[in-house]
Amino acid sequence: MVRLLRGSLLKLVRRPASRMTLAVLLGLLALVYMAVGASAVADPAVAEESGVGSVLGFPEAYGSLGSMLLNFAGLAAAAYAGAIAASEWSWNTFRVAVARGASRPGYIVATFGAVALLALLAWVVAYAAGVGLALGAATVSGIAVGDPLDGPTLGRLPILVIAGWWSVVMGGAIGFAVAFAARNAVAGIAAVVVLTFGEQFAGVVVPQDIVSLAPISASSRLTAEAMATGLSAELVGPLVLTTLYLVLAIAAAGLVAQRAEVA
Amino acid sequence: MSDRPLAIRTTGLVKTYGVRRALDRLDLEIPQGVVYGFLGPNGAGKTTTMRILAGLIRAGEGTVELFGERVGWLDRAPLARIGALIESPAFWPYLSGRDNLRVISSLGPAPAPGRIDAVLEQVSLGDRAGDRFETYSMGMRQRLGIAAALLNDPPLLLLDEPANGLDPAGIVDIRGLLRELAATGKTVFVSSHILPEIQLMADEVAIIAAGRLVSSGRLDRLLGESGEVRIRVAPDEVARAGEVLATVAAGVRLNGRGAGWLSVAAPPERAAELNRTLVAAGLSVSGLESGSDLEGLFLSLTEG
Repeated sequence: MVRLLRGSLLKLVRRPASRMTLAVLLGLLALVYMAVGASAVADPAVAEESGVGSVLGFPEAYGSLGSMLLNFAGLAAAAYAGAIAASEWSWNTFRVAVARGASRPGYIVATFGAVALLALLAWVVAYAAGVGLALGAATVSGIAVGDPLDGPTLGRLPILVIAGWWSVVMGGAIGFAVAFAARNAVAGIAAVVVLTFGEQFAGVVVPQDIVSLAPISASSRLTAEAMATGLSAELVGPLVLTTLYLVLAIAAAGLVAQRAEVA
Repeated sequence: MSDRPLAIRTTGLVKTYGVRRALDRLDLEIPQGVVYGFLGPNGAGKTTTMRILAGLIRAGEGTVELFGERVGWLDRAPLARIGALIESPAFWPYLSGRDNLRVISSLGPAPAPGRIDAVLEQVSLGDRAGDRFETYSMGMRQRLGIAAALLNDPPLLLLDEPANGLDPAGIVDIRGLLRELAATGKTVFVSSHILPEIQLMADEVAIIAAGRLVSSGRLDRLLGESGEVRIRVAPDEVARAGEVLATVAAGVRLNGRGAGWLSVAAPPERAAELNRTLVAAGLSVSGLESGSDLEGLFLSLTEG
């Protein structure tokens, strides 16, 4: 399994889409912080009313960044993982793995494991870049930077980063599984988009207690609780649910791989 | 049939796609240490057979044995003894040839140290091993596919159209390589549409049509049985020559006749005997051509 994972990492690290996805993520963050900073410069009063301080001012900016990144990175992870999964069919590389005698589910787990490891790297880089962008935008636009070194917030930061990454990986797992089963990258992305918006719309007609059990809602709660409470018992519920959806998605992809006739 | 131990045995192999039966109780026996040509027209079931042997698809009925051991669907251990190139070579396009082989080496048993460079040299790709796969020509892709099949030095190679896209020099190289591999005891099971190529490299062949085996065995024997002798005689002696051969020469079958010639189905080595028979009967033979070719055998077995 370690060799499979190492091979999967090699194929993903060199893949242009890996760098491209990170670049798009960083570009989106830069655009958002530039826009927020510019709005603060243009009309400070309106900007203050609309809560720019919580986006650019610390320590609140850590939480805002986490939420924003969760949305962007969630979709980016679904698109990236979906593209990886679908290319196993379009490039016939899954056929190569099977003919070489690799365990079919093992190959799927190793490939997704490599996606998850790269997602962790991308998440940390994007989060660090986001902090830098928030500090830069606050300074340029004259918003009070606040206290970036706030002790309690910094203490919760590792948990927030890990929880955020895990949430993103779960969305990626759903995109990966659907794209692999459908042999189509767009299907993977569409599944995550439908879940994201579907859960929001479902909240209108279905009790929130039930909607909160759904995949995207559970992963959002995980990140929110990590920011609010750090390492606490409040994390357990959403963590278990998020992990359950992740495992189910990868197990489903493994089952599809196991049963697939590879033409 | 060879008395060597078998590398592959399939018994009653059936595979259906919807209502279409791609394999119809296919029985194959492929001995070890030979180049075995696998021939058939398009849609005959060659690639389907290869896919079943490589564990890619499951047979509806029948059994597969590799080196005497029965292999089930999803049995992975036997696949470690196979190097396969099924249909077109499949690789990660953005990786170099060498990195592709590194990734592929992680998918099965670890190859010996230095093996990646060795197989790249073996298929004459050493100079371009650092270039991205997507920049390779079709022939280079095919060579890399063969290199990947050789990576673990497997005792059995399944090669589906390995000469696809190769230039004439490349075809000669690959032919030589496959012959060398067979000489070291490896079994090379190779399908190809290039029949003269198979005739030059294969020890034994199987010909299938509509998913069924129509002929198999040593190539020299099959060709011997399928030879043709074309005899030139005076135009007014054609009919009599046919009668003489039909009554005197045992096992000779008239294939056809024309103005001043007749053709009989007979091994090439019987040409001199036929000449003597006709001359002894007082007929003047002005010319004899004999030969046998795989293409003729293939067409006679698979057409109609």
